[in-house]
Formats: sequence, C-alpha cells, structure tokens
Amino acid sequence: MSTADSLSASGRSSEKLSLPSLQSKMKIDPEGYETELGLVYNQFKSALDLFQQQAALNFASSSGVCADPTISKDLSDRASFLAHVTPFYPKQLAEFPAQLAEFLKSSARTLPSGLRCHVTQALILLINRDMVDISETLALFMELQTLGDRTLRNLAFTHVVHSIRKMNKKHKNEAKNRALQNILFVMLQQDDEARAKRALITLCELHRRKVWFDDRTANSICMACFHSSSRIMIAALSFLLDYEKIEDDDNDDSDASSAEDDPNPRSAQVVISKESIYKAHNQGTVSSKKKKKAKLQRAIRSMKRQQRLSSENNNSNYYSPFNHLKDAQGFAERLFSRLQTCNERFEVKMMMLKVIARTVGLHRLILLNFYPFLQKYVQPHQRDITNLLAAAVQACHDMVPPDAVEPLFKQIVNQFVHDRSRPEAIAVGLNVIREICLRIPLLMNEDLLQDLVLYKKSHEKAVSVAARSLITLFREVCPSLLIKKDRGRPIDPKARPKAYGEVNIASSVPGVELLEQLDYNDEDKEDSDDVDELASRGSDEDSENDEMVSASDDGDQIYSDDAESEDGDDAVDSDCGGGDEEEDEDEDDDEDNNEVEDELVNTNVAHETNESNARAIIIKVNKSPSRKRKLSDFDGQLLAADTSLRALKKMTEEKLKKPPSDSTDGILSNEDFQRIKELTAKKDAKIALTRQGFKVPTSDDLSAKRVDPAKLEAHVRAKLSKEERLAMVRAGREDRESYKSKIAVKQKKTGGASNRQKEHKKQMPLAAKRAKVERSRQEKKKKQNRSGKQFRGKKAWK
Amino acid sequence: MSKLAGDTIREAVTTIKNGVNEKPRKFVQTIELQIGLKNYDPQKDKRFSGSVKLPHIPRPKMKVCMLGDAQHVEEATSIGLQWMDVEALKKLNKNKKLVKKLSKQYHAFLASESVIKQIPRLLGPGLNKAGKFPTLVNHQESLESKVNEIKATVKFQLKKVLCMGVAVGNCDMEDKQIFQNVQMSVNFLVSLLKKNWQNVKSLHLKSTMGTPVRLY
Repeated sequence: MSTADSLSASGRSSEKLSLPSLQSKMKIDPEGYETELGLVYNQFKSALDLFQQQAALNFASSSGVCADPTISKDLSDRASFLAHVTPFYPKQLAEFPAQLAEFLKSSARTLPSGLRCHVTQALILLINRDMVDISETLALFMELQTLGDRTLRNLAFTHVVHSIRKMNKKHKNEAKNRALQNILFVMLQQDDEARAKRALITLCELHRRKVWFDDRTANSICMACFHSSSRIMIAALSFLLDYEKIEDDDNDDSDASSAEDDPNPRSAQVVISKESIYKAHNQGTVSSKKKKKAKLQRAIRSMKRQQRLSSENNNSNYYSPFNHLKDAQGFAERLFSRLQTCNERFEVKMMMLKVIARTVGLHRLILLNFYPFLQKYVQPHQRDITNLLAAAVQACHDMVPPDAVEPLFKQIVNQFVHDRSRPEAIAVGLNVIREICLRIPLLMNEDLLQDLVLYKKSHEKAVSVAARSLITLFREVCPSLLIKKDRGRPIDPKARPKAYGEVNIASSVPGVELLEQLDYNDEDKEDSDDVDELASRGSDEDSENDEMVSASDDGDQIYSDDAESEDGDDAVDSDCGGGDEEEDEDEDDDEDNNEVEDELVNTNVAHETNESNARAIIIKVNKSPSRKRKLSDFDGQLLAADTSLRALKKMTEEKLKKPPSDSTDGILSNEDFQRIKELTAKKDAKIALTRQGFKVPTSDDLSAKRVDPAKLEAHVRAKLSKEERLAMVRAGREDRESYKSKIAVKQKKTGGASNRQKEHKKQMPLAAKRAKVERSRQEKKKKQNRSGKQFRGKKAWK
Repeated sequence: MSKLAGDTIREAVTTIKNGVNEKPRKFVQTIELQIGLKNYDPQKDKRFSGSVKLPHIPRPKMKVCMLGDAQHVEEATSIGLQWMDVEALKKLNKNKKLVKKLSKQYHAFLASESVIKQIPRLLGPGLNKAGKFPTLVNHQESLESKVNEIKATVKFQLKKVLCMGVAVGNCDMEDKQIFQNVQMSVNFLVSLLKKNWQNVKSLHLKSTMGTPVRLY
C-alpha cells in the first residue's frame, strides 16, 4: 500500500502542473507528444490495475468503498486527460474508450462517487466526440442511473436525453433509433423497479420533447401500465393523463387569446351579408337596431367558434400516446381487469379509471363491464366525483348500446337530481346528463326529460343554467321530447336521434346541392327571358347521360332503317331534341318548340315497335356514332325522341343520386369546392342570424375531445373557506368606526338635529296636543278591546 | 391541372375494357380506383373516413349476412340472403376466434333493431375491431333495397399510409356506369380532403388482373 502510494505521489507531483498544459500542447502538435501520451496512458493503465486490486482487497475485507482518495484522484485526472486528447490519437488510444466503459461497467457500484462522476464525464466526452457509439453505451448509462447517486443520475440522464435528441435533430435514422429503443423497451419490461423506472422516465422525457413520439414508444409507455410494480404503473398513468391535461391547457389558452384579440375579425364577417349589417346599423328604431346588432354579434361569435373548432381539430391531440395504441381494446380490457383486482389507493384507481375511460372514448371501444363498475362510485359525496363523472362521460359514445349505460345513467339521475339534494349536486348532475345525452341521446325519455327541465326555474343560477342547457341540447337533438313551450323554434321539429347502429351514408358530395342551387339561380338571373337556352344548358349539364343515350341512338340506325319517315323533313339535331324534352319536363311554358315536342311525342306513340330495339341499344355500347349521323338524320331524331323520354325518367331518378355535373363531366374542381365551402358558411351564417346557435358536434369530434370536469360544475359557487369569509367581513368593516354607545354617537353628531328630534321639539297649539293625546288613548283602548276578542279558540266558545 | 377531365376517365375505362377483353379470365374482374395522396401527414392531420353510396353496385357478389329476428330471417330466406338468428349468435359464445371467423366470412352485416342492441353483448368487440359492425334495418324498409344499398356503398378510410384503393365497378358494367361510379367516388374523395385537389397526388384505375391506367 505504502509503495503504491509513494509511486503515484512522486509521479503526480510533477504532472499535476503539467497535465492541463500538456493537454493544450498535445492539441496543437499531436505528433510531437506521442511519447508523453504513451507514458500517461501507461500510468492510467497501472492506476486502473492498482485500483482494481485495491477494490478487490477492500471488498474482501468488507471495509466499504475504496478509501484511498489519492489513487482515485489520479485515475480520474488521467481519464479525463486521455478523453480530451483521444480525438488526436485515434490509433494509439483505440482501446481507451472500451477500457473506460468496461471499467465503469464492472466496478461502478464500488467506486467512490467523485471518481465515478469523473470517469463518466470522460466517457460522455468521448461519446460527444463520436469516439464511441451511443448504442453501445446506452445500457451502461441506464445502469448508472440506478446506482442511487443523485449527481451521477442527473449526469447520465441528461446525457442520454441530449445525445438522442442531438441524433434526431437533423434527420431521423430509423434503424439506429429502433436499436436504442429496443434497449430501453427491454429494460422497461424488466421486473427490477429501479431500472424500469429510469427507462420509463427516459422514454417519457423523449416523448415529451417530441424526439421519440412514434407508435413504438407510445405503445411501450402504455404497456408500462401493466408493470408488476405499482409505482411504475402510477408513473406511466400519470404521464398519460398529463398529456391530456397539457393538451387541454393549450386549448384553453388559445380560446382565451382568440377571444381577446381576434386575429382576423373580418374573416368571420365575410359570410354575413352586407344587407343585414346595413340593416343592423341604419334601419329601424334604436331598440330594434340594438336587437339586430346583438343578433349579428351572435352570428359572428358562432362563426368564429366554428372556425376555431375546425382549426383545433386539425392539430387535435395527436401527440397523445393513446392515439397510437395498437391494440386499444386489449389495452383497455387488461387495464380494467387490473383495476378490478387491484387494491391500490383511491387516487390510483381514479387514475386508472380515467385512462380507461379516455381510451374507450377515443377509440370507441366496447367495454360493457366498465359502466356497472363506475356505478358503484356514483354518489354525490364521493371524493373527486366530478372527475369521476367526467370519466364516465368520456366513456360514453355512440357505439355503446344504450341499455348498457342506462343503469349508470339512472343512478346519476337518482342520486344527484332530486329536490332534497344540494344545488351543487343538482347542477353537476344536470350537466353530466347533458353531456351523456349529447353522446347517447337514446338514453333520454320524455318523462325524465320533462322532469329535469323543470329545474330551469330554480333560483340557483348553476342549476337553472344547467337545465336550460339541457333544453337547448334537446331542441336540436329531439324536440319532440320537450313540452311545446320549451321547444322554441327548432330548425327541424322532427329531428330524432339516430337509432343504435343506424348509419347515414352520403349519396353525394356534401353541400353539392347548394352549388346546384346557385347555378340554377345564376342562370335564372342571366337569361330568365330565354328559356330555351336554359333548357339546352340544362341538357349540357347532364351531358354525359344525354350524350351516351343520343349517341347510342345514332348507332342504332343501322338496325332501324325501316323506320317511318313522316318527320324526315324536320332536321332537328338529336341533342337538341333531348334538351327540349328535358326543358319540357322542367317548365311547360315553352312555346317555340311546342311543335317539335308534339312530333316527338307522336312518334313515340306511333313506333312502339322501335322501342324495344332502342332499349337493346342503350344497354349496348355505342360504336362510331358520328359516321352514322350524316346518313340518316331523321331516323336519329326519331329514336332520340323515343329514347330520350325514357332517358328523362332515368335522369330524374339519377338526379337524386348523381352530383349535378358542372360545365364539364361532373368532376368538381377546386373552385367548386371553394364555392361549396363559401355557400355552406353562408347558410350557417343565415341560421346563426335567425336563431341562437348550438351545433351538435359529430361523434368524431366528441370522441377526440376531452371532457373538462370544471365545465361540469360551471357556475357552481364554491363554498368559502373561513379565511375568505373573514376577509369579506373585514372588507365590509373598513369604513366603520369602532363601537361606541348610542348616546355618545348622538352627542358627537354634527350638522343639526334629525327630523325626529325636530318633531319632538316643535311647538304645537294646545288643542292639537290634546287631540293627539286623546287619539292615542283611543287607539290603545281599541287595541285592548280587539285583543280581548281575538281569543277565539275552543275555550272561548265554551 | 386542378382537376380531372372526364375524357381521361372515359379513355381509361375503354383501355381497361380492351385489356380485359384481350385476355379473358375465369371470373369477373373488379375495377379499382387507386388513390395516392400528397401534402398530408396521416400522423398529424385528421385521418378522414367517409362512405358514399355509388349509383351502381360495384361488387354484386359481395357477401352480406343478416343477423335478424324472426321476421327478417323469413324475408332473408325468401330473397336468398344468408342469415343468422340470435340463437346462432349465442352459439358463438363470445369466442373470439369464432367471432373473428364470422367477421371474415362476410363483407358486411345487417341487423334488425332488436338484435343489434344485443350484439355487443353476444359477440363482444370482435365485429367492431374488424370494422364490420352491422347496419340497422327496420321492418319498414325492404330488405332487398337495403342489401343493395350496402353493396353500393364504398368506404374511404385513410390509414397510416398515404394511399387507398376502392372498388368502383366491375367489367360486366357498362362504360357509362363505370364512369358514373368513378366520377362519384372521385368527387366524394376530393371533398373529404382538406385542400381538395391539392392533396391528390395520383389517381389510377385498374382491373383486378390488368395494368393500372393513370387518370391524374
């Protein structure tokens, strides 16, 4: 021991001065100092050996970690020195990184903390200089974090996070990431709590920093909920729930900001017609203008809300790991079974509940046992009841059969909303009922709704607001359940919630009918006098159908040469004929073409024989129509007449299904879609102007959005604490003087006598005084008399 | 080019038809519309999904199963539709594998009002997972028309990749019908996209065994 000490001491004293300077010199001139490098390297190796021997000795004598500070200092100095110069001597120091890593791996547990930190720093330096690959050392660094040394843990943790982040900054190397992820995932699965915890923390941190937010990471974090150790599970759960909270806060912020400073106040007004704006400002009396302005404001507000919602939907919480769950059903089922069997604290159960509810809602899973499970917690005095109810609301969606939720729903109604329960409970209950009914409207029946709605007269603001919101919902969803007085003026009085399992399948592009209408109106305005043109254009619009038919007619002429020739002189183009026909159907007041139509009808009646022929041709494909047309015009016209009637019928049928084709081919262009958007926005604005807007969100929106428990207790005034009450009392007392006797106050009074005093002092004539005395005496007498007679009980009668 | 021209569709349909006629197969080939998207991040943007009813039935051979009550079962047997009643469903006994097998056997399911409520209880989440949760049929509407409606319905659903395929017709249909179906499905698809045509990278039309023809 002593020899070793002296050796190292002698070496050190000379080098202590020189190591940093040597380092800088080496950096300038690497070749010139190779011998010195060899020397230091050898010293490092020998120190390493020595240290390991010592450690073995110490371990044998079980006197704890190595107590020799000089050796460890020596070792750490040399390690960091070598780490600094390694980039300049890649050849000579090729094994150094591996040695260092090996040393740490083998004896990290027994090293003194200072030395451990220094060696780790040296290794980090090497990794940062790309001398060692991170995938080799990741496991080591994760291991280091579990040693229970705080500084070392922070060092290793920040290093891991930073280096992975740096690696992914420019571009993502999937293969490399996957290798690293696999190390961490395996670690997370291990039973050892400390390791799994560090792995989870690292993964969560990387996920939060949006470095690793892919499916694999998300899934492994979610799977950590099934770790045997409950602490890991809690950590994973709280991370998942945190995500929800973070997202929500962001949304709230954006709400607030958009409400305060409208980024584009004009954009909302674009869709509102100028006329209504003009009217609101310039027409009518003051009060009616006020009303119109209020309406306008309402419309603008609802437009804005819609725009905001649509923009929110685009970046809806897609970072949340829930979205990436591979087997959502399995996840929810497993977690639920764990919830049922575990005996954790209430808070933990609550967290599990929330996670399950969120998964069920987001992925629209069917987990029928979950609702009866919730039911046993639904009590007004239950701890954290609003959060629990928010979870229950989230777990409801339109794929759940209503009878599965019904017991829970009934329980909420019975426990919360009755006349003896506290107003807060009623308000919360009504809000929860509203939210559930928004998702599963089929739960509500007429009697119950009418009962609940009666709370709108409540004097408690929270309750009446909640009841009214229930009315507004059902005005949209199913007005027939409300009594007539409450129905208001619903847009669609026959609205009815979709039956379970019913789906609406669009049969054309949504909003296309608006476009059609617009086209129609435009044309009406343009050439309302020229009906012909309208008709022909109409036929153009359905060009496809028409052309096919007429073309096939032309093609048919080979077969129907023997057709009658009475109309042969009439050289009407077949297309034109079709157009006339259609217009005929549209409006019958066309005079120019009346004769033509008559002819057409005649021929149709006369030549029934042709019809079968022509029908066959419709089914067939047309062949070289143009050539035949020249040959026999009249025949073509005949047949056109024949078929176009039938085609018309077909078209009228198809008009319902087929999107009206715009100028060409019926493929809508970008401009068309833009117009559709504008038109729908205008329509919405019109609706918003006429009535209070509440738009029932689609089930997709609902499932993506999180239920805010605070909204369930909107307007509920929290009970004040004693301090708050005292503060209020004190605030009221501020401008009051301290207590004094009444007389003292009166005597101090300045500013003359009070009216009462004056009345006393007033000098009255004697007669008046006497009259007053007399009057009061009589009054007293009367009173006595009355009081005597007032006794009319049983005894008085006897 | 901001949109598709009708003539290209017609040309594509004729080329496909020619291809089919050149080399006849032993079955009726289906014509499929293949869609490639661009400027769309399926992770970030909303994954859209929507179904639309086409004017003509693209896949007449689609297998539909009726999960019905007594009345519907009778109706189904009369029109030759395959059916199962509640008893048969109970026999599956919530066995996941059996339910999966059932869902694989058919392309779509119909259910009558009294049955559909029990389905989650009887079958568990299997049908949901397969995306084949039954559609409701009332006693008021005729079963046959409902079946045709189901057969004519196509679903556009964006998954994790930026491409989709959907059957829009078969080779037994007329050109005109195919054209109408293509037109409708293209219109509907584009209306689903956030930036409409700017999100469309390519459109191909293809018969089962033939080569794809580029539309857009």
